[in-house]
Amino acid sequence: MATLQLQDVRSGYGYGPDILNGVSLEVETGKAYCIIGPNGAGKSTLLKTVAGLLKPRTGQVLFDETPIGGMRPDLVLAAGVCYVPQDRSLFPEMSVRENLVMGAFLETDKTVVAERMDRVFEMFPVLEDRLNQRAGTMSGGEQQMLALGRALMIEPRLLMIDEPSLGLAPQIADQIFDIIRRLAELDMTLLLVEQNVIRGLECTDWAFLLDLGELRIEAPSNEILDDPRIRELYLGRQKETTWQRGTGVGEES
Amino acid sequence: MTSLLDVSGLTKVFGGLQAVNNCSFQVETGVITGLIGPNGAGKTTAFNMISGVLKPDAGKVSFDGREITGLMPHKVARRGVGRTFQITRELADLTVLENMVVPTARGGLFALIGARTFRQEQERAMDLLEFVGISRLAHEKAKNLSFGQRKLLEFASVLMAEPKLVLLDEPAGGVNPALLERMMERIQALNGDGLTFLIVEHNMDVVMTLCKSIVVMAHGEVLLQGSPETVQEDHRVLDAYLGKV
Repeated sequence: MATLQLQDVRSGYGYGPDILNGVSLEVETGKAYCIIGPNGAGKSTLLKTVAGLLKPRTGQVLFDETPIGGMRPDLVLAAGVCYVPQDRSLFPEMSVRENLVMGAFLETDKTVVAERMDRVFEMFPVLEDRLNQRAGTMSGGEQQMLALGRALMIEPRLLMIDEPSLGLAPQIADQIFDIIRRLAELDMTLLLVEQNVIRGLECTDWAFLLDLGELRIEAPSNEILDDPRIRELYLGRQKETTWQRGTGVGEES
Repeated sequence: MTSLLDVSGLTKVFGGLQAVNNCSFQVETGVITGLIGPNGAGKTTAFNMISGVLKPDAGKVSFDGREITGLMPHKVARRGVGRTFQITRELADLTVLENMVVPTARGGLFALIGARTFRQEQERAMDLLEFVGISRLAHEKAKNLSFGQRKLLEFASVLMAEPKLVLLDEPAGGVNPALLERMMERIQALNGDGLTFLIVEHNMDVVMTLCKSIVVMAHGEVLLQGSPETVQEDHRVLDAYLGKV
């Protein structure tokens, strides 16, 4: 069954050009997906559009067959879609405990919140050790763990993680990828955007390759790099140059 | 051919991070050279050291046969190196024309006030705005321009100083396809007149089409420098982009 469906979604920022140029894709329940593609391909834009931070200009986003495109981000979250942004967006002045509690702000039952926190500690023992530390004073890797832990506090059905390894030292990034692999085994659908393509593919089942806002290839994660088109998509191609000097002074846009 | 820009052993450390490590490459006179590499490779840091925004921890930058290592940005600019930024830096409340004239007050701001210099500069500015296709917007305040138009303005204003080398940091980033086409065409036209470029760009089609020579960086180091074909065929380049180290 499809947890998430994008139907011909166009999306972008402000009055700027379309960043997603009509993307259609399906995400099945319980599987782990990796979105790869060169810079500016639209990977983060896709996640933000699903999370409700951007409104699709055309097309539809369906979660469990219900349209969520353009819905308020908190309502998308309440529906079960959680988004961990690239900058992690922690509350730096608040403690680890407070950050985790904030993650469960939709849940009113305190015992449920406490149970979830215990489960988060099983996965991230370091967070229990740092319970009263201010989030902003932790290392980058610990902050990423807190961001993931906080996301688990609402028990999302679809967890979207944007560039979890960004800015982390290689050994720390390895730890984060181990955790993501364990998350992928949980009863949850995972959508990962990762610049570190090899590692991102290792922790997922299926991969989407975006380029210039279009879905160009989809394939099992362990096969996609065999596609001959990969090289061209990452390293470009030479266009026939039709430009000639002194001609084609375009009209102003 | 002779190299206009010669970077050798350039190094910059931020805290414990080797942002640029022993980086050497050349930009030959009259050639459009590309500087590419995955995110965090150190491209912009290298740019900042060349243009004087950052002081290198080690290494040498020579331009036009003279060393410019560690010179202040305005001195580097006066030697003939112009640069644009990823995020444009126009003076929002000034008009497009004023933006063109102010940064290149070569005789100093007082000379600029002198009517004759101002008229000459103004004419040049209008010609360049015409050249990039935004002369219609000359009296518009810079803040009212679209992002792509600001990039064209920045490009034109760099040309005001009559540089010998132009460093472009992501000219294609956030620019719509029509404007991008125009920008590329203008770069090629200027290059045809002998202007040398060093371009950092993520849009690989742009890089492969414009550049004759490409420097590939990864993890702060130069992986290789070669023609577009060499770069596309070298497996280390794709590996670097895919995160295989």
